[in-house]
Amino acid sequence: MSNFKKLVAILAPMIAAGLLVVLLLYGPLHFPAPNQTVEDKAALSLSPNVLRGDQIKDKALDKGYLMIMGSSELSRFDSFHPAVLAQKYERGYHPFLLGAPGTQSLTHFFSTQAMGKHVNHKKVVVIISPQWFVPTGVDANMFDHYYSKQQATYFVNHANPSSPADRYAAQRLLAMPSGQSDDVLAAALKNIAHKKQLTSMQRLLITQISSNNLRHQDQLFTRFLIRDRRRLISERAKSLPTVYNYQHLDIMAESRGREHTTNNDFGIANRFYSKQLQNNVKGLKNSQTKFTYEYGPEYSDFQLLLNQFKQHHVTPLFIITPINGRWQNYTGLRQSMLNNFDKKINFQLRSQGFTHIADLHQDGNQPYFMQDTIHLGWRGWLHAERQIHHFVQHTPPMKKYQLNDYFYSKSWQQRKPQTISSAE
Amino acid sequence: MINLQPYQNPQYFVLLLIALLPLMIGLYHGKRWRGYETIISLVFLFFIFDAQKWPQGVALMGYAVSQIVIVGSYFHYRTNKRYHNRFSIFALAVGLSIVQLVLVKLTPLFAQGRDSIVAFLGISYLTFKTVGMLMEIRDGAIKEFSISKFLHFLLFFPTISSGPIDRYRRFIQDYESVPEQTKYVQLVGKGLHNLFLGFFYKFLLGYVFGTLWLPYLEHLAMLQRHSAPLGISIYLVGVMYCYSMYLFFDFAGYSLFAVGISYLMGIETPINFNKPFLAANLKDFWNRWHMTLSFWFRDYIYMRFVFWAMKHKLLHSRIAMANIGYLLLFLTMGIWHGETWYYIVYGLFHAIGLIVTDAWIRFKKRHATHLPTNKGTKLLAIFLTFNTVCFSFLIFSGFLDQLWFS
Amino acid sequence: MDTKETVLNILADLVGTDDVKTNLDQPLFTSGLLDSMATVQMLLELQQQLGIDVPVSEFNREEWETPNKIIAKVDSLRNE
Repeated sequence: MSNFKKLVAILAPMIAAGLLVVLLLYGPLHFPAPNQTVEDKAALSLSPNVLRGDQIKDKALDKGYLMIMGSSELSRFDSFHPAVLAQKYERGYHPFLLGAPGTQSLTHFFSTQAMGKHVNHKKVVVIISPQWFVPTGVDANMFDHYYSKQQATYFVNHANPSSPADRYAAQRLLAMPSGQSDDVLAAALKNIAHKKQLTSMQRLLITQISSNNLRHQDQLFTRFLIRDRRRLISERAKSLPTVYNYQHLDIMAESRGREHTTNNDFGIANRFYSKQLQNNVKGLKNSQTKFTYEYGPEYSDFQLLLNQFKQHHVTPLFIITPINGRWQNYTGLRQSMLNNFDKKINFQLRSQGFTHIADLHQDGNQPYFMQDTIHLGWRGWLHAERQIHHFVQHTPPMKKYQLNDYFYSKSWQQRKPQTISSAE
Repeated sequence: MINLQPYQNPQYFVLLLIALLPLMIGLYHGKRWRGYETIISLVFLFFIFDAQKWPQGVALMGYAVSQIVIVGSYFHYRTNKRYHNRFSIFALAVGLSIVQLVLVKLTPLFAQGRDSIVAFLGISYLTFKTVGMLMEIRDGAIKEFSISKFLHFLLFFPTISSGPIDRYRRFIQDYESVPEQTKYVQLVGKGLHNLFLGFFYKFLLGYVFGTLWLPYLEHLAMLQRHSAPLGISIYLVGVMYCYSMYLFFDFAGYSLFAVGISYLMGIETPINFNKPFLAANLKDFWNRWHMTLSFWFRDYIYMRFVFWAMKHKLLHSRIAMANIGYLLLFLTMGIWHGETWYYIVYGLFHAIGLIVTDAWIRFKKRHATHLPTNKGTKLLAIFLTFNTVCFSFLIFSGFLDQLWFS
Repeated sequence: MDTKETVLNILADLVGTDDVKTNLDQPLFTSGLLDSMATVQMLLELQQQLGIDVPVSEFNREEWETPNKIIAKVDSLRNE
């Protein structure tokens, strides 16, 4: 074979591969949405790539799934988890679970804003963990883990530099390593944060090149690597009686809880206790006396999410989760601090017109309400699910919110909850 | 302003291949268009060090000029018959040539973690190249020197940011000649193969281990830090393996790019990785992991030290001498990585590991008849080496510092 | 004593077996028979017994890979 032919033999497959990739990523193509099975799987998966993607969520919204946004508690799949109850009984909704350990307001904000018009006039559920509101805000590593360049691109393309909300969001994203990971995006975010319009060059680079590429990647690849929990949910559903009766189920939840919390005095599930706590339980005594959830950027991050709800006329139900009371006593976490947190977040919600709140923060002492230290379980799930059911069935859509940019300010983040008067 | 960091994204490769195309056509037809090569080298160097990185560009230029003076002067000294080959002059030349690197490495220690203003991307690798040259000039092995060749060698842009570390005489031999057409076609084939394998390593596997999984595992391990002595948990084990995989695929992927692009330019830059996780012992491992760096340390520090120590009968025991050599080599390497406890412990760990390995090899030689050697023992050896290495990378990662002291 | 015998004696001494004397084409470095330490010893022995000077810079493992190659290399250096 001549050298030239050899060269062609080497180059041809590589050039062909290169062209295919370019066509696949940048070509004027639209890839069909995944089928119902993938949709069902995704709704229960809690997989990060589902959260990072757009296509599957958008389609689920169009089909009328109820988005339930939260964090680690969503993975406590006991028999009374909303996903199980909604499958077993006619509860009037199909849950689509969004979130996993480490997802907080900022992640949910970027995910929600990228839903665009798909989320218009929908009802959603947001499960708020007090633990999100640590003074340092969301852990950068965790945020990066759920970061989606596609959603960041969507944000940059739709952001308005004269909106304080968008400026705040840009500045928050820039504070994360992932926000700095792409030079083009970082430069555009800097412009937005500094109240400057994007340059036409930035617009060209972002809209023309990235968007198509990222959308195609989402359409092609998000459907893989989705964890399948449908068997687990069905197994759990099998153990429930055929007819929904709250009192009956509550008794059942209590006895399930009792069965599963035998190796400790905290009412914590055996598995969790022996895996996570047992070895160091002494060291944790009074270890949380200085914890506070009263201050920090999370309050403003949360405001970003509220702003999205307003923009798209979304009606949200907020569930504020409690902390296991006996564990709280043991670790010395102050109830007064927790009450302050609750006051502050309630003020932020109610003063702006978000009045559907299932405030469970006082329920940590109810037996078998929590599955472990900070996560809802058995009776807690059953109770929360009843609220969701009521919200879906009977709550009229919200009409008007009055948002206040004050909630993006440092002075709100650092404001002492005691200074909030109920008349305000 | 456009700034292009080497091998960061697919667009970089598209631009690079377009720029290299004329050069490749020339090489295919037996011509090396050095003028064109110089121009594109300068353009790509410019885009690494422009925009907000311009202070680094200035630091690089200052560095290049000072190295020309140091290496050029020492070459002049060594080739002029009037002078003796004095050790003090050699030591002075080496000392001067590492001044800037030492400054860069020490500044963060004394300036609250800030980088030195004379720092620039790749300073370590360039310094390895010049110090190697100084040693070969002292040995009389380098017999010719020109500023232009020196700069081409020093600033060869495919390898500027993190190696592989080439050797002057080898590089110049390639640079002065043009590969035969058959040979060049092979090089192009190998080069492109390297690029594609590099994509797979760095952008796929490196991304999965480093970006998708590692932060998650680190977070879980941090949550468990109080639940057992030393914060040991199953997640910490996960961090260990995940980080090791990330380190390998990211760096090996990068090295494949550098070697692949060199091949396309008709320069056979040495490879950096040769299936390191299949090494049967730690010695074998260092012949397969970051090879150009370990060979540099082997040839320029370890062998020279041992040669000198044995010639001057410094110690009676050759074993002791070898062991001191290991400690010297790996402590130097540890400190070069950075002045933190975990890099130094990493160096010590490997030095001790190699001392133990040597002892084991001697033991095995003495008892060869009683010890079985078969596929099973070989697999066991690979397994043990792999885990030892992964553990050392956990130390190297600095995660333990975060886990224990933050 | 000629070069070949001297070189083979040195090698046999370093490797610890007489195998090298019979199999003159077996690789010494890639097989791990000779490590850096042994290499330095070999260079020093060559210097002492045969009076040839090989700076570490000039020592290229590929050119010294087998006993045959080493003998050839030493011969050429002696005749310089």
